[in-house]
Amino acid sequence: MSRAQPGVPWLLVRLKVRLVRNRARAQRYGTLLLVTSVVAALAVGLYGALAVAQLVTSDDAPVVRGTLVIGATFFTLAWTVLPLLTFGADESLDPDRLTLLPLRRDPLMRGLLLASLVGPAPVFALLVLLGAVIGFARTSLAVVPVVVLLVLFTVALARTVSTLLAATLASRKARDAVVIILPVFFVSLQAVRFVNLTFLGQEEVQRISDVLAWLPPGMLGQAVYDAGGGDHGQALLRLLPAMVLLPVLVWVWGRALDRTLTTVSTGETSSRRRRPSGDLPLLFPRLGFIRPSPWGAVAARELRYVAREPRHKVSLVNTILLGAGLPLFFAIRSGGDLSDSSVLLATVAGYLAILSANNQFGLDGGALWLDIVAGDTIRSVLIGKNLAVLLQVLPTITVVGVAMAAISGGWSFLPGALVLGVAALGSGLATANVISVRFPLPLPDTRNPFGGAGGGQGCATGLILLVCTLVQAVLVIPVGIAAIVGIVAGPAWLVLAALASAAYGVGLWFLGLHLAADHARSHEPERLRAVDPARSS
Amino acid sequence: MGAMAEPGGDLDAPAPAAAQPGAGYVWPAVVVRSLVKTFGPKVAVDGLDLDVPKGSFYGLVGPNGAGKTTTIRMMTALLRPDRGQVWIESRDVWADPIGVKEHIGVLPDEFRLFDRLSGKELLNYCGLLRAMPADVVVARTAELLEVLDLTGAADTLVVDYSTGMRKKVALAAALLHGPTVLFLDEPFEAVDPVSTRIIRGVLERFTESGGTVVFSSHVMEVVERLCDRVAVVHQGRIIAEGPVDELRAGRRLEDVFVDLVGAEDTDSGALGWLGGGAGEPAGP
Repeated sequence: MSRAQPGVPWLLVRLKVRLVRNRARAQRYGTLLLVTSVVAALAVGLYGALAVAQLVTSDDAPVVRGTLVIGATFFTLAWTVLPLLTFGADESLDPDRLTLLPLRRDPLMRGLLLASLVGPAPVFALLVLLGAVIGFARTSLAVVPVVVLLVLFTVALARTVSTLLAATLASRKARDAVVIILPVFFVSLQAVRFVNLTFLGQEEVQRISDVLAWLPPGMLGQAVYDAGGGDHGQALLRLLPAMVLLPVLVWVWGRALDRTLTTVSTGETSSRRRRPSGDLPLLFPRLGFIRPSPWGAVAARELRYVAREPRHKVSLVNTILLGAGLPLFFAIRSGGDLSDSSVLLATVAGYLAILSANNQFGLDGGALWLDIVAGDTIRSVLIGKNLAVLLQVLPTITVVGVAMAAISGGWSFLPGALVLGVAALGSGLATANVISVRFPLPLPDTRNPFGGAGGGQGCATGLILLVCTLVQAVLVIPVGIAAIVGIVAGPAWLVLAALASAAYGVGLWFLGLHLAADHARSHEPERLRAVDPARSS
Repeated sequence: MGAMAEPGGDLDAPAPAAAQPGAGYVWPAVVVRSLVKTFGPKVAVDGLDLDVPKGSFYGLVGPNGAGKTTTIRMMTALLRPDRGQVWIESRDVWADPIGVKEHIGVLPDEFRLFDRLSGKELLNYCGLLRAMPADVVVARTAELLEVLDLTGAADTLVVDYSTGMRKKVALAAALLHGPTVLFLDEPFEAVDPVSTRIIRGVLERFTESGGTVVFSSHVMEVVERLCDRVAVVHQGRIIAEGPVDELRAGRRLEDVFVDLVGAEDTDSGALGWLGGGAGEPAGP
């Protein structure tokens, strides 16, 4: 009791660094990807720091205040929520894994807080914050403690939230539920991206920051502004809520941590018996076209998984929200006054759907061996998976198309829009199939629903997906051209252009399928190793 | 890749492909020559040779980390060897993996399944994926579930199965397409006695009808009772091989195994601090 453990926080930080490094080493190109991530985080972070530093010295007071208030809120929100939603949370220091060690709570908490700051993404975020400090440094150094408080508050909030969630989510059902609810929130955040900031006038920025300035992170942003302006009394006043909340957070987190470290979470869920089934319960009696064949089995399995496995559900929900969100946004902004051709926005749903199809084997994970020992199945597997995607996306395209036609009256554009949607999907899946077999990535596979591949890898995955998205964007251009032809020349030409682009989409899909299957056949063991979380790291 | 193998020192069978066996050569079910696999600096399998006669119940025994799992994964085309060759029923595994997969059933170690399917759906899936006719899949699924005592849990999701049930349903998946050679990695690990007996019964029936079983284990009692031949793997090599009775020569297999692997007696002076005894003072 008497002796403190000064080494524990530092040990945990070193453990985190070691885990990030070793994981990178174990992976093919891992070191390269990690270095790239770090360099990118440093470069972009420095650029962000300079931009922020310049911005806060601007004379336009409302913009400066808006940036700081909204920026601080976003910083806290992103740090807390993003890791949970992208499965990128760092499970390396999952308290569950430390249960057996005789660690006292306080050093453990200090260590976990410090370890939160290790990794490319935190470095990037901190650099950008540093920009604000540099920007104001000339006028007031009082900014420094405010920014430090903001970081502390954010890190503590993030750890509290993740520990509380992990503790609450002992059962599989609870985990499944949350894993679905959170991404809905995440996609709403994504939707904010579509609200192009240029749409926002200064008034709106002012109004948003007025509201956010009442929340602790926003208040800290405001405090940075006040301190930078030399108004130290105001700044101090605005620090109070965060200063009061911080010990409360730490206390709540400590209690949650205690519970995690001292209770056994069995993760039990009463077993689910399904209704007694027919002869071939895998297939769907009502979807007769899914034949009892290799590709039919895969499609049926994928569709069953959409209903039963949270991560598949998440990807479907994302597809629907993203696909329907953008047209919906335009419809709302226009106040119902849409041109006929806006029906073509339904096509976008087809394109956006494939964004979640770039790592099709990641979700199979360690179970992929079942497909591999079955022989030459890769073509059937890809066809089945693609069919399942098509069956999930087609309803979205149709509903969005019909809704837009009903609002705008552009019914004549509907057939063209549907065909274009399929063409966009085909061209996207062509790339997605090739990428899925060439760059299979493991997805976390632990009891902790927020467990991730660990710091560093998130950025690597991001880089690969960024390149994929670019390739896909280029390949979808002909479909876009067909849409433009339709808008310029009218619905009759659209049908022709759409059919041509459909031929292009289907052709590209066949090519992609062929290339992907060809590569996969000669790399089966490597693909299995890459996606199996137990063996990939 | 794939350096031609020399016949192993203590194995009298010719190296099949290299020697181009004549008409008289009878292929064993499994032939392994000079198999090598390294992971970084660690040599997991170090020039392993093996002949598994047809219809035998063949045990691969060895301490943890001896290379059993790596060997089985390389024999079943799940892990690419650095060097060496494997033939199953006279087919070269790494030249024609697809042709080989039709004839083998696999139960890896620490496997994951598509566990959000029910047991019955999983077997449907495995059968249909192998392009088996639907009626055959239906009939064999029902039969396997019955024999493995899983009928009551047929409509329960595999994720809710116990370890024994998971092993049994995976064994069913491995048997569904009627393989002639079965590879099982630690099939009895963490399985209760009732399930063990059921699995054993199914495997014995499989070999009685001419099938070959290769399985790894470090439970010597099981190996002694089930196997007719056994190979002891140590540090990535086979250090002893032969019929079980010949190998143990009247002793217990466990003693023979420990002698071969060379376990040393623990120094009686060490670990004095265990159980709170006098020794080093406890850390902080």
